[in-house]
Amino acid sequence: MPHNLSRREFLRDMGLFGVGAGVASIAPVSLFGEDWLDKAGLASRPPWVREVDKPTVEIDWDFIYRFDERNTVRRGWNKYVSQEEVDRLGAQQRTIGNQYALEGRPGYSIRDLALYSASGVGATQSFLGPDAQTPEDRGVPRWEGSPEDNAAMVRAALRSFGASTVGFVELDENTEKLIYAIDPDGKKVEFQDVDQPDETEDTRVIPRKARWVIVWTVQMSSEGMTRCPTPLGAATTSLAYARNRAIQGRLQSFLKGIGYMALGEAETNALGIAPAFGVMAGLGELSRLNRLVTPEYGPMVRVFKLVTDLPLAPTKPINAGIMNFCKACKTCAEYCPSGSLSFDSEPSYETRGGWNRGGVKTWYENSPTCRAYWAEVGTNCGICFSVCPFSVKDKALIHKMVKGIVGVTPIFDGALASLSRTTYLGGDADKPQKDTEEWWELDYAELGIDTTVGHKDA
Amino acid sequence: MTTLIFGLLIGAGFVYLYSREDIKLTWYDWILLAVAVVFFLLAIVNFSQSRAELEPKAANILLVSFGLPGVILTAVVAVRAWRSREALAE
Repeated sequence: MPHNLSRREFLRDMGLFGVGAGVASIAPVSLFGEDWLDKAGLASRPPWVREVDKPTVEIDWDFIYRFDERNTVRRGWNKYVSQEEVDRLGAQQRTIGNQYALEGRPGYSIRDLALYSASGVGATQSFLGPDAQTPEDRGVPRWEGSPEDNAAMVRAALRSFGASTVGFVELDENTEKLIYAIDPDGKKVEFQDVDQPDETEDTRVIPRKARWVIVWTVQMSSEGMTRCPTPLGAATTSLAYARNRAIQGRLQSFLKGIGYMALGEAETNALGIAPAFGVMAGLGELSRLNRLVTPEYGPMVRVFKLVTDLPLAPTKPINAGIMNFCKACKTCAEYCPSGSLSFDSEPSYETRGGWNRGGVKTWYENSPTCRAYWAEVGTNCGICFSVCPFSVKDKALIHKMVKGIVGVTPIFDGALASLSRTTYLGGDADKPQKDTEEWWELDYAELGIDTTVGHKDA
Repeated sequence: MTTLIFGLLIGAGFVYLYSREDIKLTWYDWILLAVAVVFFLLAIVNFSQSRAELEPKAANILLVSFGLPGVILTAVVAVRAWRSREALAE
C-alpha cells in the first residue's frame, strides 16, 4: 500500500523542495562570484576563457616585420603563378557559376548567384572616414574619459552599429609591426610625428600619437556558411564585409564626433593583419585555418580594425583551449578539397611560401592552391570555416559542456573532435554540408545570426 | 518556467517514491536514480536545443547518447526495487 502523505507532510516536503529550487537557481551567481559579473559588464565570457599575458600562439617578434599586403594571394597571386594562369583562373571564377547554373548544379541557380552578387552591395569605406560633426563644430569640448571608460563606450557604440565582440590593442614596438607596410592598393602606410592623419596619392599617414587599435568581429551566419562552397555560402561572407563597411563608417563618424581620429581600412583586408590583431586583442585564438577562432562563434566571424588616438584600455589575449584543440582536430584539413591546410599535429615556424610572412608558430596554408580552387567553384569556398567544430551554433547545452572541457584540459580533444565529425558532418568533403534549396525555405533570423550569443544584456 | 515545471515534477517523483512503504531503496539506488534523471534531462535539453539549431542528426544522436544511459540506470533501479518489493511482501 502506498503511504499517503498527510497535508502537513506534503507542505513540509514542498517547502523543502521550494527552498532547494530557490538555492539552486541563485547558485551560479554565488559560485562564480562578483568577478564574473563584473567582467560580464564589459565582455560576457564563461570562466574557461582565461585571459593570459601571452597569446597561445608562439610569436618571434624579432622576426616579425611590417608586411606588404600585396604579397598575399589576394593581390599578389601573380607572384606565385604566371599572370596568364591568374587571368585564366580569374575569368573562370567570375563565369563558371553561370555555367553551373545552366547545367542545373545544386546551389548555383540564378537566385543563388543573384543573392551572392546582391550581398556585397552596401556602403563604401575609406582610411580617413566620412565627414562628421566634430565637437569644434558644435562648440563643445571633446569627450574626455579614462581608458577603461573609453573602452566600454566604444564597445557599446560598436555593438549598436552591428559588431559582435570588441577588443583593444595598444601599439608598441611589436604590435606596430602588425600594421601593413603597404596596403592592398599599393599605398605606403607610414607612422609619422605629425598632428593629423593624411592620405596622399601614394601614402597613408598615421600620427604617432594614435596608439590604439580597436579590433572587432562581425558575426557570419553558420546556417549560410554550411552551404559553402556554393554562392549561398559566399553570399554570407560577402554580406559580412558589406555590413562592416557601414559599421566602420559609423565608428569613424562617432569617434570624430567626440573629437578623436579614426583611421580605418581603406578597402577589404587593408591597414593590418586581421587575425593577428584579433589574437592580440583576445577576441579568439589562432587556429589550423591560420585564421581567428573565437570562443563565441568559432571561425564564423570576419575581423576588422581601426587606429585611433582615443586612449583605450587594452584587452588581453585569451586561452580557451582552441589552439590546443586544433593540434588534435584536423577536420578542416581533411575536408579542404584543395589540400591547402596542414595535417601536422604541431604548429611550425616553417612557411609554405612568400604569401606567409613567418615569425609565427602556426599552421601555414598553401594559399595559391586554395585560391585556384575558388576558380573551380566560382566562389571563395569557405568549407574550412563551415566544418570547424567551433562553428556550431551555441544554443545547445552540449556545446557549453564541450567548450568547458576543451578550455580546461586537452586530453579529450581527439575524442571530442571525432565525435563532432560524427554528430555534425556528413557527405562529401567538397559538397555543401546542408541542402542549398532548403535554405530558401528557412524562417531565417535577421542576417542569419543569433545576436544574443556571447552577450549578457542581449 | 520549463525548468521550474521539470523541477517540480522531478521533486514530486522523488517524494512519491520515498513515501512508498512497499519500496525500499538503498542509498546508492537513490544516487543511480539521480544520475539517470540528469541523463534524461541532458537528453531532452540537447535534443530540443539541437532541433532549434536546425541540426536534426545531432539531435537524434544526442538523444540516444544521453537517453540510453538514463534508461539503463533506471532499469537497474527498477529491477532492484521490484526485488525489494517482493522481499518485503514475503
